[in-house]
Amino acid sequence: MELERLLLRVKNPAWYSGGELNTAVKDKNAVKTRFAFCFPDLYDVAMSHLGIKILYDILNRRDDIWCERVCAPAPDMEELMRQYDFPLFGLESRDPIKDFDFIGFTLQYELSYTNVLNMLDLAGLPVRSCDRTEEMPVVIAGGPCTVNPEPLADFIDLFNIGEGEETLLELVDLWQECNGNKGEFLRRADQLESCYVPALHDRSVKVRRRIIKDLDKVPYPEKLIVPNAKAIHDRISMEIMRGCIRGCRFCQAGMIYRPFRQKSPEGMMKTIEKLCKSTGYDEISLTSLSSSDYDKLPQFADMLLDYCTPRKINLALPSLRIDNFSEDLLKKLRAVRSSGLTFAPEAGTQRLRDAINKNITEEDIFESCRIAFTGGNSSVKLYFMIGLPTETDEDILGIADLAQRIVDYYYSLKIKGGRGVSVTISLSTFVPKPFTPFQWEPQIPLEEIHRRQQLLKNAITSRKIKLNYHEGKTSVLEGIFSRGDRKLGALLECAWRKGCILDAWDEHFRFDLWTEAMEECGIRTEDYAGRRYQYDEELPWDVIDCGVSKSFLIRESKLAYQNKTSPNCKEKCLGCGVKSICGGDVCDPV
Amino acid sequence: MIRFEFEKKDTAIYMSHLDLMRCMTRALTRAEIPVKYTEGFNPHPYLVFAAPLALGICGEKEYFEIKTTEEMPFEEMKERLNATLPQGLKIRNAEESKRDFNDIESARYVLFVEGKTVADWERFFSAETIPTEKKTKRGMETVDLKTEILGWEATDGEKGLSLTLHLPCGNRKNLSPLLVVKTFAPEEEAYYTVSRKEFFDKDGHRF
Repeated sequence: MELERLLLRVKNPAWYSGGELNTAVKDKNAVKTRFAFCFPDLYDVAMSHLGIKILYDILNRRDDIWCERVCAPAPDMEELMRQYDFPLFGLESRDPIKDFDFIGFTLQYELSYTNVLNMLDLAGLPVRSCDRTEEMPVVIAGGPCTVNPEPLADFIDLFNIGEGEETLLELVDLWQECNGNKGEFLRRADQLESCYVPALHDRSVKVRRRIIKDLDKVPYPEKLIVPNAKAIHDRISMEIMRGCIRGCRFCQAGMIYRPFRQKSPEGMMKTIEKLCKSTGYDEISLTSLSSSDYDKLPQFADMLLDYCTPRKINLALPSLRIDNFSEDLLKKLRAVRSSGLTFAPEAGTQRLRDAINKNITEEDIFESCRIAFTGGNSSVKLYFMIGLPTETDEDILGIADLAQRIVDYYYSLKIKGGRGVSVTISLSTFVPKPFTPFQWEPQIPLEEIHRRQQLLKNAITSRKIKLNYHEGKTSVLEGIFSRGDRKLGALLECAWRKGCILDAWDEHFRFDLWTEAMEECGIRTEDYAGRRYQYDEELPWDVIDCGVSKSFLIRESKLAYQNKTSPNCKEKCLGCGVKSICGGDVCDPV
Repeated sequence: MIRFEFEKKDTAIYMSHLDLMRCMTRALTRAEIPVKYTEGFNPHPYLVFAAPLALGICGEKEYFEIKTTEEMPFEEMKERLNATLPQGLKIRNAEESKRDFNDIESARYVLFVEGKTVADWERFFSAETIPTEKKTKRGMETVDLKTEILGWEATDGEKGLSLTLHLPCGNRKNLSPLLVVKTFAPEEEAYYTVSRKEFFDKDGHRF
């Protein structure tokens, strides 16, 4: 059966057709190793993701490797694939991925886990590692969620912990050295520092997260695939640095991407020029965890604007921190195109902001608003979290109060010709994550999430304030899996067999089926998401060494209960431990 | 104004009209063609397509027009664009615009409908009226294919029916060949291909 026969019957055929600009098309007989890079979600999400672009490029730079993209099909496509026994295929060659050497998943969020199982099944492979034979592809996984690999340990042959630019090629080399002998390959790979083969690994030996010492020395793509159908982020992403100097106590990214490493503006400008020429995109987004901590941001912004303005290229700068948000920079950005402003105070009161180590003061917030409002921006989006450790009702009411005072502040400025202010509160629920100071904290139960959401909703009286939030059930599931152990494998398989897929999508998420599966497997929320883990208990992710030490995390966790902040890495080294895996020469943020 | 004639085939048929506009805008940028931009807050290039082609239909002689800010030989523009278009899109010709896209009144399509025969089509078309539902901006509307189809020709092939349809096309009146084929072969697993061959003006002359 040809793919064409299915394509006209689905809503988004361009998600499965391939043929986009800048794809890697090779002769399968001329390559030694075929790699299926799987993003366990829909095409438009996958094609917005930077990591897949970087690794696709690195693998395909080698003539002996052919890396192809594979995405989760939408339910309409899946139904046809199952009906006609059409196995999951690589977008470039349309060949079934069960014949590839590697199937590699990137694990970006817990709610994509059922898609991993579903994709293996659609490929025609058993979902469990132990049921797959020697002849079947090696199934590997990387990405931020692998810092706790246990919930997926039954399904993935090998986890590669940390940054993949170098290790992926080393793994392919090892594979070629082993002449495609999977057993031998896995045995030898498990001995590598950053690799974890759950079936073989001795848990007393820590797996150490791999980091790239000099980001300027690893290749960055000079061309990007330009999707035929619109992706969610359809633009050039330029990663300007990795790691974060801030130690927000809830934030996993801020801990597991340490140390702080910046790229050189000159090198990036060269890349950006090539990327603009090879893609024709009219927007560049600078990617990092906190753009304004980039030391040379003013110079780099000038270089960028000199290039972008005459070419009508829009510059997006997400993750600007509220406290060092610069008026000058805003004016410069507005010269290209203006868009609304987003800030993330995360908590409604100074007390709680101190407890979570979000070093932002009320003055910072109002100063940023003043700059935004007087600069002609009248819409502000604020990110907050509920359920943070030590949170009380007072903190929640503080969110409404802060938003209201921002509205009042706008009118007090008496801006001429203003169209009226709009403040949007985007509310998420705290999920405890491994390798954060809050990794031992319980998540509030579902009913409590609902009560706190309602409390905030009722406290908002102004029509200038809009409140957005998610129902809360997905956060609970996220909470279970983020700190899960190997027992969750059975739950995952059970839920998937009941029909749970695409859990990150409201229209597909089936909490009823998840509840059923949990009952059948004897898994209770209160044993995972809802439980306070003990400082001295063995944690499922203790087999991984992410760089940050447990003693540092405990120290920070205790400071939270004293509402005490900690300095950031530029101000003072807190001895988080990351130097142990990268050396002092790399971790030197000043 | 410069008019480009292009084809849209292969994997490019799965691009919607909006996708195609985005794609061509980026291709013009990559090809460094001096496209003129509109004035105003949100400038965009002067880029106009002749009758939009629905997703799934192959186009053999499609057109778009641009304005430029400086001279560039037509042949060079064509070559530059062809060097940077994705699979399935190809510029066939570039020249000075001679006619207005609004002159387009109808188009000729060639369809292949698997498993169907001339006899099936004749039976279908012999009905007094062939009402079908059409989605419009105002909601669902009933149209009579019998009176809307301007002309047809059918031949039997080895695997199915080969059907040529002459249908209204353009700003004033438009009938999608997909609507015709879905009414004729409503089965969920029906397989067909559709290709737009050429446009005509109100006098029936080739556009």
